[in-house]
Amino acid sequence: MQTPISSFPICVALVEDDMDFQQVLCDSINSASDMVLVSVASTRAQGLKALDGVQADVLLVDLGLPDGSGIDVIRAAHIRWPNCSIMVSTAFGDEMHVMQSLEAGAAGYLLKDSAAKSTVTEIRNIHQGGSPISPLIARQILMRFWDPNKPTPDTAKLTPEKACVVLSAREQEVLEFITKGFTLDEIAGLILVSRNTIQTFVRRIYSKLQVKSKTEAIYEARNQGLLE
Amino acid sequence: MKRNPLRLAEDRVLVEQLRLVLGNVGSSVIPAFLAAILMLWVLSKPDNEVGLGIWCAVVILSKLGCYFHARYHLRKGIPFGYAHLLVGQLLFLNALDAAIWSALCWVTLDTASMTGRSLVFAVLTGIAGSSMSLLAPVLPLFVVFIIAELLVVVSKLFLMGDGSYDALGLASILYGVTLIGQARNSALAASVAVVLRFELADSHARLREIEHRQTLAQERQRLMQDMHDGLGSSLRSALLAIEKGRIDAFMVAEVLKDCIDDLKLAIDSMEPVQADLLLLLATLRFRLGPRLESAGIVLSWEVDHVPALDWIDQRNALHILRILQEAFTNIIKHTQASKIRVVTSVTDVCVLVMIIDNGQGFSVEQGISSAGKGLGNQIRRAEAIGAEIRWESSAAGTNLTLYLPIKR
Repeated sequence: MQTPISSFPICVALVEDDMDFQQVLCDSINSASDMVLVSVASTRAQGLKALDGVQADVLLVDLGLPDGSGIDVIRAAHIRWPNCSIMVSTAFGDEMHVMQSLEAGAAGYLLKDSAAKSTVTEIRNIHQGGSPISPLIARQILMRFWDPNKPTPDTAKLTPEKACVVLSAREQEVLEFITKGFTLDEIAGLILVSRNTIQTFVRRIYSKLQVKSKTEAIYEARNQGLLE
Repeated sequence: MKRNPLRLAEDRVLVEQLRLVLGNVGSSVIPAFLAAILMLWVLSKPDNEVGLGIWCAVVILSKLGCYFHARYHLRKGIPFGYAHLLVGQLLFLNALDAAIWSALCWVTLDTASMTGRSLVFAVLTGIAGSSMSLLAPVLPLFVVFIIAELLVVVSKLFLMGDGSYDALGLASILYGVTLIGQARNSALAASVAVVLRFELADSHARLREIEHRQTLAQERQRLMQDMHDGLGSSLRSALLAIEKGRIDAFMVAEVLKDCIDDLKLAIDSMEPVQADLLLLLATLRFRLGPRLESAGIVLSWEVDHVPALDWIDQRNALHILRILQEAFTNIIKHTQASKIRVVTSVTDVCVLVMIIDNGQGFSVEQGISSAGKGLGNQIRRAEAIGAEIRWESSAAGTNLTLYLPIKR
């Protein structure tokens, strides 16, 4: 993992208002030979403006910005830079903040108290398609996708918006292992697939979550429109 | 409860009463149509054909008017400030409706046969009665209806200039008064029902509010206690050590890392775990895993399916997390272990969580009796959740077992 596969450096963009943490991030990215810092913003406005510039491979966003929520930046970046891996930086990696970010299009998160060295590792990891996932998030996702009346072909016909995004049996199995405390490596061993496959499972689960929350929002809005 | 029965209720209740009345209107439309067409069919004669036709059309129009008016206001909702104005509108509409119905006397009485006349009165009596059940929730509406109906009917009867019609007129007035008395009773019943419903809703809301406040207070208490025991005491002892110059930057960093772990677990414990012990253990591993890894300790995760422990709420979850967190920190700090096994198993009454390390071991008696808060704290927390904790320690390592009851 130390030696990057690609000869191109990883372009990293930052949106972070905590000056100390911003400094730590800048220092560790600048000292990594395989990374280039393309933009640094400390407000929501600057962050949105940076999306007009050079497209980054990894975007690191803080949620609590002085002039608004980083969620807006994540949402905009997800549309403007579809190939960019978005990472949210959070103090505690708590369920609420992480779920919000994932639903907006983030693919992972970075704990603010991680050591400087593991920060660059995390950036490399997400760039290569790896996404961290905590047991509480896994449980939350299982609950979001849980359907009391198992999706039979009939119900799929009835509510196409809701039924189109479902977890595959394998994805569900992986999430259940995560809620029991197994690491991705252990799960790869348990269900006899490679670690890379497990990583793509997690990424795919995250993008399904994002699609689901988006279609649900549209569905909700349409329902509201009917009621009004 | 002595008050003027004609006075309108307070806005909130009045709106409900109006909704009842408006809701009733729909059910009266079809019977009214049938009655009007029946009259047209039975009583129509060459000399009153035009008049009766017009009457029938006007009745149907009036009823439709009432119906669409009611439907419009039910759909749109009735703002409190608008209720009195709506009562005014309904007073007018109902007076008009009553007058139109009773105009039937004026159109047919002169020419109809005896049977026809009886039919006219049967219909007018029926209309008065059905209006009573329709309009009773707001009494003034019915009073206006019956007065308008009586005025038109009785005036015609007296004009007939026949003693028996005069008697019929008087009987009609008596009937009207009786109906008003009836309507008053059902108005009372309806308003009591509406008021009771509001009182019930109010007291439910109050109960929920109290419950909510209690939950908040308990949650605050739980977090305060936890901060006092964990975060607070770590920070205090670190501060003391720094002030006395007995601690270096590395040790400060260690204390702060502990504190941040403490905080993360406290935050995790706020998520409902729904009786899922493995999820709780998973969370702990997720949070403490990096610390173990950086201490060079290999973790062997040997958990298996365990039954749901329904008694695990947020408070109990935090106790379990803290007991096991303490176990891990003790191993990292004091035992030089290189391997930790986390094993779960199930007996008839308990779920067992075992944390087995290969470190140097310690004297359990000394650990418990010593003034330090380590093992004592774990025992106290285990007691608080009705669980039991035991240690077996030797030079080959330590086996901590937490016995969690399945039912409590």
